[in-house]
Amino acid sequence: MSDVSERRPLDRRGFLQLLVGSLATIPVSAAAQTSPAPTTPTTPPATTTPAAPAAPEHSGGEARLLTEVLRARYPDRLSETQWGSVVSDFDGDLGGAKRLRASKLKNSDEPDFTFHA
Amino acid sequence: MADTDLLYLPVRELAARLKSRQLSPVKLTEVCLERLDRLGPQLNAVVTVMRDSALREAKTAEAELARGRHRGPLHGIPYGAKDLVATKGVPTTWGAEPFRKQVFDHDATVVTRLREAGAVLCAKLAMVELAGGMGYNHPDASFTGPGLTPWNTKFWSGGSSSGPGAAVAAGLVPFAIGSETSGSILTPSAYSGVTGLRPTYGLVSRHGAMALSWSLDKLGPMGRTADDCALVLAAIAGPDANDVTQSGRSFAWSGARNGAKKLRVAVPKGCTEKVQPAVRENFDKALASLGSEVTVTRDVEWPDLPWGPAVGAIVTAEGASAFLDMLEAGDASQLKCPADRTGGYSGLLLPAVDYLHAMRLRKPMRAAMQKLFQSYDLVATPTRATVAYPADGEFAKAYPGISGGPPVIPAGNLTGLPALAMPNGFGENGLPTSIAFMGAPFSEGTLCSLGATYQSRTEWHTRKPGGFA
Repeated sequence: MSDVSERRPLDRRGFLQLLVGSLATIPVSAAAQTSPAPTTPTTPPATTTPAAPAAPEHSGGEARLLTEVLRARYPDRLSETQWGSVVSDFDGDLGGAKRLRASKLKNSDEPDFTFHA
Repeated sequence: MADTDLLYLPVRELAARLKSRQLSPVKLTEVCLERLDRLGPQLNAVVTVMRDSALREAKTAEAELARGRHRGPLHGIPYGAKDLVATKGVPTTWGAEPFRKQVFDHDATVVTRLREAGAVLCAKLAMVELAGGMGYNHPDASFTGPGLTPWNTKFWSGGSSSGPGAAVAAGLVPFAIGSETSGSILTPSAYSGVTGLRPTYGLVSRHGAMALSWSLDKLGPMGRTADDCALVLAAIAGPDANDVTQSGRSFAWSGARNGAKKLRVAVPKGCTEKVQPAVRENFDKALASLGSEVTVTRDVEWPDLPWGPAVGAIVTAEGASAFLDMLEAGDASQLKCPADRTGGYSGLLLPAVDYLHAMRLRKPMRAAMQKLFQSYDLVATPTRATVAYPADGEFAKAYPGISGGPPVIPAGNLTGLPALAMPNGFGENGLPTSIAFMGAPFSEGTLCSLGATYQSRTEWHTRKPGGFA
């Protein structure tokens, strides 16, 4: 599904510029500006959260940066439109993570699974 | 009785006819096979019809019944299985093109259990590719095409157990096995107008079933009645050394409630305000019909926890791990739904901290639900806020402004709770609506008892879709 004509590989300099720009936004909670609506029984009609719409122009820098990591890993894998969908997916994940982390836990709260030796 | 009518009979009635030899398992199986072949494609409901093995199993059942050996209420009853449970020597496709030629050398435990109970596996049924784990946003998300509800074939049968929903509703099989990670039994039960039971996490072995999310996946029955679902659950539940998450518990079914005390039912605040009008009206009528059995408390506050983000993080992380090979190889490009071709990638970079935070939250989430069930026996909601989605459009565009309120389905799945969905009327475009009851862990007996009582007083579960009757 890769669309070579639309691909926009990021060189090392571009990646570093994006990294700097993204880090500048993280302390002010870039994810907070892009949090999607909370998941409810009406919007995900089945097993899991459905895909978000195509990448919005206002996508957070963190989502774009994460997408570039994937693009570096799989340079010929997806078209620009598809990479835009990945940016939206990261936006959703980051928004969800922000809501998750807003629920405070005690140091003693263990994950709900147990390792057995 | 016409052949078609046979397949709309509840399991218990079919079982009585089979045991008394008024009905032949071979005849019943042949009727199923003919309908699966002829009508299955109209609904995109079937992946593989298992004609030879089904007739072989039916002949075995017939011979055993003739000898007076009766294995129980499923002996000689045909069924279908969502195509994510392994069947030895027969393709198990997971609804996805990259796995279309996949063949296992073993049967899933549920298939073995049902065979031991004498049930006859007639077909592997269609499903949303990879049980929806890659984030599909459109009903057309399987190489078999969008599952269609027989009540109006311009609309979706629900997902991800789309084939089981459509096949049971159209009388292609008396019951089916579906699976749920977060909504995949309840949703197709609602959109197809059948009864579906999501068991407690750990009651039914998942050995041999496709893994999407190890800590959320469950297998369960979809049938015509609550009694049918309970009979099937009794056959498939129980300890299995091949699934370490199995709780060691079994399920014994004692039938409908009889003179028991009233059940305390909570209706969460906000769960009916923004649903479709027919959904709300049918929900209220259903609760009213159970007035002698339940005491209803409305506007119960739902625990304020990040249910949606937690289930999202867990499915994203576990799903990316479960399908890592497919993602690494680039084979997601073969998936049907464009959103699924890209939807798995972000999971590859989901921070372990976020996954662990979600898993740590499951303990306070379970505590919150335990507290709720100290005051109430069951939670009641409309199963879905709307009737089925159109088969040809994105979900997000189908019913703007409609909302089901608190995230009861994610909450129930994160905390491993059982739930029962039952048809309770019809709404827009002649499509079914549904009511769901959710209970404390291992309360399937209570759920099915109340369901059987409800269905003894109503006839929604007996309706047959025109064109398939």
